[in-house]
Amino acid sequence: MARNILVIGELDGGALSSTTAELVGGASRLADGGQVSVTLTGAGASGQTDAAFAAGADRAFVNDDTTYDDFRSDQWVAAAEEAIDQSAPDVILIAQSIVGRDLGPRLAFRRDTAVAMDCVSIEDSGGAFKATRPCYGGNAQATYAFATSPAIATVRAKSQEPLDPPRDGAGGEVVELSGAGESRAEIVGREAAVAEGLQLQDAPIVVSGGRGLGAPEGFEMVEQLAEAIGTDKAAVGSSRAACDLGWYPPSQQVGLTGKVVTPDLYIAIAISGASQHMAGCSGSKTIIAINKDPEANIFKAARYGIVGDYKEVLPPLIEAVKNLE
Amino acid sequence: MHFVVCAKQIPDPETPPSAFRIDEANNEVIPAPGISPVLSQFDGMAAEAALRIVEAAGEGKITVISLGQESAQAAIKQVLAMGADEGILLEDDALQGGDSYTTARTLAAAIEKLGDVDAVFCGRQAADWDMGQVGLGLAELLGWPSAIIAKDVQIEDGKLHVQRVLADGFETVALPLPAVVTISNEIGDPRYPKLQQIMRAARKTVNRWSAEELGLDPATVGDAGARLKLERLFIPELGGDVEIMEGESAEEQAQNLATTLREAKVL
Amino acid sequence: MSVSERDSAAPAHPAGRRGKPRPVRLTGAWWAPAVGLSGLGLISAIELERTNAGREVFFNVQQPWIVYILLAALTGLLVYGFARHATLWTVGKPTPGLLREIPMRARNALRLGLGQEKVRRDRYAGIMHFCIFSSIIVLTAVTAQVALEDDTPLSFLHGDYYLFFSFYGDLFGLIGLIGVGMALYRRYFDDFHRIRWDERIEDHAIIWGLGLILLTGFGVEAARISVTELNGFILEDGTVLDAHPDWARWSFVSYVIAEGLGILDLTQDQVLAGHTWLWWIHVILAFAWLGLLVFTRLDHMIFAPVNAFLLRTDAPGRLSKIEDIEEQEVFGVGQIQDFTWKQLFELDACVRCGRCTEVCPADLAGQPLSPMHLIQDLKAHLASVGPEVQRRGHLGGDVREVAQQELVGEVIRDETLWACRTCGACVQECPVMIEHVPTIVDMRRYLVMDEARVPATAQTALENMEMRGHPWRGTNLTRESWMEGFEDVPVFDGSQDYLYWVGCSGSLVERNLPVTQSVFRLLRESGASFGVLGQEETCNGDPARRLGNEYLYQILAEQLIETFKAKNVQRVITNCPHCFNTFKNEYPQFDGRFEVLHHTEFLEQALADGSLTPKHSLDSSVTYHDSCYLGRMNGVYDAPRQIIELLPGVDLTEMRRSRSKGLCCGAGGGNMWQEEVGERRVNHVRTEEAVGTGASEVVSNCPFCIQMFEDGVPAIQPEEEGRIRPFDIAELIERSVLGENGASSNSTPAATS
Repeated sequence: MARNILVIGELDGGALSSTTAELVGGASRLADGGQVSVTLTGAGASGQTDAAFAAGADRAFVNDDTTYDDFRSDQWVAAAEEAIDQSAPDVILIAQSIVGRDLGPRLAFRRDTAVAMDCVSIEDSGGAFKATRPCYGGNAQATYAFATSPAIATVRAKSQEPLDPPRDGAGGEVVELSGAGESRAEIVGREAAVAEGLQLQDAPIVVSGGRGLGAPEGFEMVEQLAEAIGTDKAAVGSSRAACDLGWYPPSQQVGLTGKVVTPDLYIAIAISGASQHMAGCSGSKTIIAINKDPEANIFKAARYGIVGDYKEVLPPLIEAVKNLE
Repeated sequence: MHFVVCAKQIPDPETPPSAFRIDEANNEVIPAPGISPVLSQFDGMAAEAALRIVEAAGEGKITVISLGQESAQAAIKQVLAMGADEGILLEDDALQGGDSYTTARTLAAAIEKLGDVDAVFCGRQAADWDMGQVGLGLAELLGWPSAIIAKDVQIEDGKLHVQRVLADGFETVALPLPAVVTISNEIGDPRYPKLQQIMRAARKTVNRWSAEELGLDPATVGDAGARLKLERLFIPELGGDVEIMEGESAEEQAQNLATTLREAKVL
Repeated sequence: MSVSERDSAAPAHPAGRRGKPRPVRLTGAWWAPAVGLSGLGLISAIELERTNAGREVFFNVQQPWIVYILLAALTGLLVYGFARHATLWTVGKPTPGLLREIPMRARNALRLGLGQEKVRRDRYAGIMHFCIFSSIIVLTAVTAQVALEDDTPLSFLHGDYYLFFSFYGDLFGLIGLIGVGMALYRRYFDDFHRIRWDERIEDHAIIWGLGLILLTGFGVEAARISVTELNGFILEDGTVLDAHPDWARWSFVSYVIAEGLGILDLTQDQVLAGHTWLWWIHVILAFAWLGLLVFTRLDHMIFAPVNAFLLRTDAPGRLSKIEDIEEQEVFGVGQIQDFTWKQLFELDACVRCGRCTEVCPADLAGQPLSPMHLIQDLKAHLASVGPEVQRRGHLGGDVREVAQQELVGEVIRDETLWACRTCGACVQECPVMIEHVPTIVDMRRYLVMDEARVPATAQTALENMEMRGHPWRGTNLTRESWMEGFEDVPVFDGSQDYLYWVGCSGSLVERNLPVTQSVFRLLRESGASFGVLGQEETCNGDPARRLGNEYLYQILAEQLIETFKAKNVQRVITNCPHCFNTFKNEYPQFDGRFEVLHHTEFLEQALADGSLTPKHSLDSSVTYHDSCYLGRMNGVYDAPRQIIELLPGVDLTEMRRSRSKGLCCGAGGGNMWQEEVGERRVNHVRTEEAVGTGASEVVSNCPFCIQMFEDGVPAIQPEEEGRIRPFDIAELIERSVLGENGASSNSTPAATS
């Protein structure tokens, strides 16, 4: 069944964000002949329409205005509403991001409909749009149908495939949105978390090192792996033993007496997996263990593992991860 | 100043995975035996945020509202013990079930009934369904500004200054009152209640409001009013046993791991 | 053998340190030389002309009545001084139960006060102290007899008794000097000794003063002997004192000195003048020295035996119950007047010897707790605010308003209170019977219940106990996880003899699961009739109580006691010494009376009576770590050692600190759930000691100890090769009884009664 889909696009440093490209790609498959629209707001938006068309969009609603570079829900909701009014979507897709977490519910309540948050799968099930999302801290997943229209879903990054190959040279309709309206929220200060980086608990990926690293220098390699994955996604943790030895700051300690993290991916490097430590990371969706002791407890909790010395495993792994992008 | 804290009682998120069961026929979580429901942790943090403001100002009233069943009294009492002044339980068969929409609608009706509320504090999400939309829904239904995922909230010059967590740092947003804010764990653990307060909370009566008292049409709330229809609740296949990467050399194992992770969409 | 028979054979374990008799090496030996020498002296004296032996007491001293003025002054000073002390104690709350169990208290006063049982735990100090102590007692009696002889109609210092009197007077003077010498050596020549951790001028004054009193005493006696008994003397009234060197020899020390004086070739007048001077110096010094009782730690002469009388008579592992907790205005101790007067009294008994701090696990690891300084800080605080509190209280004012430095937080810092393991080592060692642990827990109670100031990780443990019925965060296990693979785990239904209480650690902490399984297999093998509660177990509250949340403890305890009663539980076997202590010693406070055995005790019985047979030689060298709550708190030292002795091929090497001197693993007092603050971690210190024995396994019987060793071993022995391995004693027994793979052989059918 053909359906119109609207993707609320985001720019990342003035360029179409990778998640938006994924969502547009997913939308074009899901549209089944319907029209895929995308909103592009913020500085540089008008230059990204071709990228959006290449990613699978038929129409782009654009407002090349720096006002949108900061997220203020009042203004973003107004822009989205305008696009909705003009494109009459059956489905609206938004990334599960700082924008989507706020805009999704706001928009749903404004338009008197419903939103499913943090979806990992969106599908056409016998003509009905369904969204599946994790709940209960990852213990369960729930599939929803929508009683109202349009159906809105915020979608987890990496859960949709971008078009491959992209539709290079494909054209589309460009619609200018009217100017950004008022915002009741005023941004009065900003603080980059350079020093702190991504908070351990918030990081979707945590790379942790343990006493098995043998020396504080081992953490340099752990950090390199985190950097290769992306500092916006991966944070570095440590076992209590390693913190006690002064190899890594206590603020990064994962475990019973440290931080309890529940990332999507937890990479435990040279960590034996004492219960103390597992208490802090057992909620992770996927655990990867790299340890030279095949009997190490960590392998019991891990989904994937490499039995080997981290000094030999990490350098090629860092390269392999870099090549994934 | 009158603040409202929204508190939800949820199945204990620390239930061991091995004890986590789902009744797939009815799309329900089967409560683990011997494990009592708890206050959603982010809601405790929301209470903490409200209490800090009241403490800093030296005055103010905090009302804690929970939509739930009789057992949700425990969640209310817990926030009362932390220092909240009044507790209201929205309890009615017509209000049971439902989704984020009906929850927000019910809570909004309660807040409107209270009338003089200056700000509402919610947890960033309930740790059961992990949706994170009730606070925003409230803001939308009440017509108030909002900010979400806050690590610090203060009142300055009659405005709510909310430090919210971004992917790459923090941003302080000033909101005119009344407003809604949702609190994240960066604010720190909720306070440990003093025994005197625990005992005072134990003696305090929790008010109960029904759908009728809230002026809500039963057809628009609870299961009847839900807009997201849960079709299936299931435990995802996690693969079970560890898969040790094959490979002649460390390079090969590493490459295999990277490829496997990409295929499994975890990286 | 049927289960019930073995049962009745099981000895009810004596509570506490008063338990098993220990070899008492020194008690008798002390008196032996004195009695022996006296006996010899008596026999030889029979040969002498002695009927008229005696002395003219004040033969050379003018106005001896001045002594009575001094005595009156001293008495006045002592009355004033102790009244002042007592005023401060009365600031405290009433101390319940002090007049109960008087015979036991009297025995304590004799054994621990007069008998100085604790003092002798440091052998050098024991000898030194006994020398000084016995010397002061005997010489005071000597002086008193002289006074009675001269100033009352009584007359007994003549004849045989006089000679004996001369002998023992000199003997104990000499013993006193030996003691003083030992004290001086320790104070000035023994490097880095604990007695100098808080050294004050009074310490020097006391020991030098005593030394001078003894020396001048000998000087006076020698001068008298030289003039009278050696050379004969004519008193002013014309009485002739004949020379009697045979009498003089009984005063064997003074006699030698007197003979020595001869070398100096002094005239009689010079000796007499010297005698007068020395006599007055001796007397004035003695009174002045006794005056120190009021101002210095010399007061322990009186306070120590009194404190021994006041010492608790119940189990040392029991913390006090806050009665009617919901009615209290203050929880625990937040200000000095919240202590009981007994707790304030014992502050005055402290002699700053440092024994408590020397054995404190926190202090050993460089963490911010020194029990001695804590007591001294409390004492100083009492002295500074006590009088005002007392005055206000007297006038009926609000004593809480007395401007006080915050007792909890400032005088005693939070981290000091949290560093305590409640291991009881300080209480065990204290020679003046101070009970530090209840005092610390009382302040924790205030911190937690009144102030709600709790370290984050401990808060999580408390919240978990409240919400989830166990202190472990984020466990992946359920209370029945350990049963996987067993099809025959019996559920306790009231018909079995024993409830096997697995405990939170035994069921929810991965490392402790195999221990639970070992105990289970051994119980089954022994044929005992038992059952478990499985999912129905909940935390018994011990960690909450140790962490200071008495309210939570009482709720958990009352619930569980109700469950036990509903299920008709009579006898309990516990996995964990902390559960053991709580059930055994603390539940009776809530009318929960059960017969409680730790698995160590049960298994020792089962091995002894043959229901378990060790078959396999283990070829293993082990060291045994006494858990505080089985050892010090409940006196179970021998059962585990007897087990180890019964297992073939197991070699036991004791650590330097063992039995009642054992060192805590570091987890006690709720520290399992806290970050440690300080230079080192206690479990690293203890692991080092275990590694130092060269044993290949460190055996204990507490889930916390095992976890702490598991954590400590890799830190102390980074190389995996040759690491010491921590095991529960049940795991050790299982290897010997059932073999390495736990396969039961010749399993007897379970006996049910």
